[in-house]
Amino acid sequence: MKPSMAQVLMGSASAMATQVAPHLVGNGYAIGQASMAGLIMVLAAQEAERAVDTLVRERDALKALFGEAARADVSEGLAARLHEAAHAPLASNLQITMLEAEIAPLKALLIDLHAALEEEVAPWARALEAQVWDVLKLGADARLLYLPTM
Amino acid sequence: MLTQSEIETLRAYLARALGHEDVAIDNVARIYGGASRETYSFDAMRGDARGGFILRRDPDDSLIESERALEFAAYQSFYGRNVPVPEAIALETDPSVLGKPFFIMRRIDGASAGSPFQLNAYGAQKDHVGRQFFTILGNIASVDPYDTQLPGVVETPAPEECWRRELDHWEGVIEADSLEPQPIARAALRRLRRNPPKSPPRLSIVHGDYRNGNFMRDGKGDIVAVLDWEMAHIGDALEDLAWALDPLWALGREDLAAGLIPLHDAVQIWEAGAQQKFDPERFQWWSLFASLKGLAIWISAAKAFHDGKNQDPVLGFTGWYCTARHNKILADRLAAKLEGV
Repeated sequence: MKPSMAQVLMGSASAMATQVAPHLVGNGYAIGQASMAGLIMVLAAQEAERAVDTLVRERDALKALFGEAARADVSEGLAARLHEAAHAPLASNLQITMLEAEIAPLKALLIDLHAALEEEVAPWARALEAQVWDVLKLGADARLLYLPTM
Repeated sequence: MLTQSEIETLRAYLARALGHEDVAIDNVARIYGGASRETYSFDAMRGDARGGFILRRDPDDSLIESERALEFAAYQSFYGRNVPVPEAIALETDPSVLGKPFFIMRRIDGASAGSPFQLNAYGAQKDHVGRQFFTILGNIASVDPYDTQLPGVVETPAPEECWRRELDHWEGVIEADSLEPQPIARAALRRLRRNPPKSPPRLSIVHGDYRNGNFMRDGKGDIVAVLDWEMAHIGDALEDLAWALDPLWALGREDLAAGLIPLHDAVQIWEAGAQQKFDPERFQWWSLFASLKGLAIWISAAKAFHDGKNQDPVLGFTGWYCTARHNKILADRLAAKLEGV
């Protein structure tokens, strides 16, 4: 896609800031809304480039974690759910909505796994819990957004 | 925006509230900001006299589901004390008057509220603003809740229940409004429940959203009004201090308290105003809670936007930017220490 989605969004954000907002003098509400709309375009430009990559990396990390956790000393029921999730077929395409729908039940299972690990005092549980946090931090780091200097 | 007919209704309403039928109004303009209410500025004239007023009207949806009577009572409670607030004039809870409940307060001219996301927002006035910011926050904490109108509009918890009431409330918001599973929020909720804080030495009024962006300052850098009291309640004063110190509001300077002054100075100033000692252990709980509460607010904002109830761009912004920041803040903190707060 040329120009890229990010380029188009950044160009539009620039137009809002430099060509629209300054002409709304005397209407503070409209200036604020135009500026915020421009700012959202800046954020959207960041997500446009990376959203699929973030979701795929997060999905793969969750499945790898579940595969390992399924072999740990968790309850039988949880182990079965983890094994099933780790080996479930991948979404049929990489559209963001498809990936999000694929990951939602994995995140729900992660919550159950995390809560179960917190109840377990054995060292293996602490090690797995640290891996849970690695996956959560991967997603949190990847989704950070950056504001333009104002 | 207000229609011509609504402006006439507003004029007649204000005239009755002020006790002068010959009041006229003009310069009605919507103001940007205050995502929890539609906010309008207008002038009222009677003879040669002219005064500025603010109308705050409930929106269809907002960042925060709040009671207008509560915010009105908070303004009334602090007006004339050592916490600067605008003068509250009238509260109308009947939606038939202007379509939605509203209240009117006097406008403060010659001052403005800054953005909480603007780097170095106060420039050379940073230190001056910071010292007042924490003095006023301490002053809020020093007020006896029973010496205000708030106990009439909000529940008064037992001191040992302050934390649980707040955590239950925001857990309910996360439960109701999450569009997808929230593993970081869930982990924070479990951690907070496993490690409850000690009770506060006494109950205080908690502003609920005391932070950069929610006060007005004049050209000299003096804080002349504390705004947005819609989440005010009675509880532990450290809840407010923790919210004010959350990294999200640090204007890009997380090495400083609220991005303004050194933490040690901020705590000393707050203690002097609040007339209570800072308890670092209790504060840790409220600090973790503050980031979770923020995340809950952004989750709600995202749902309102997603469901089409309110597609104000600011809700889209907070649903993206602030959610990402608070998830990161919580994940870093909880992962660094697998036990305690």
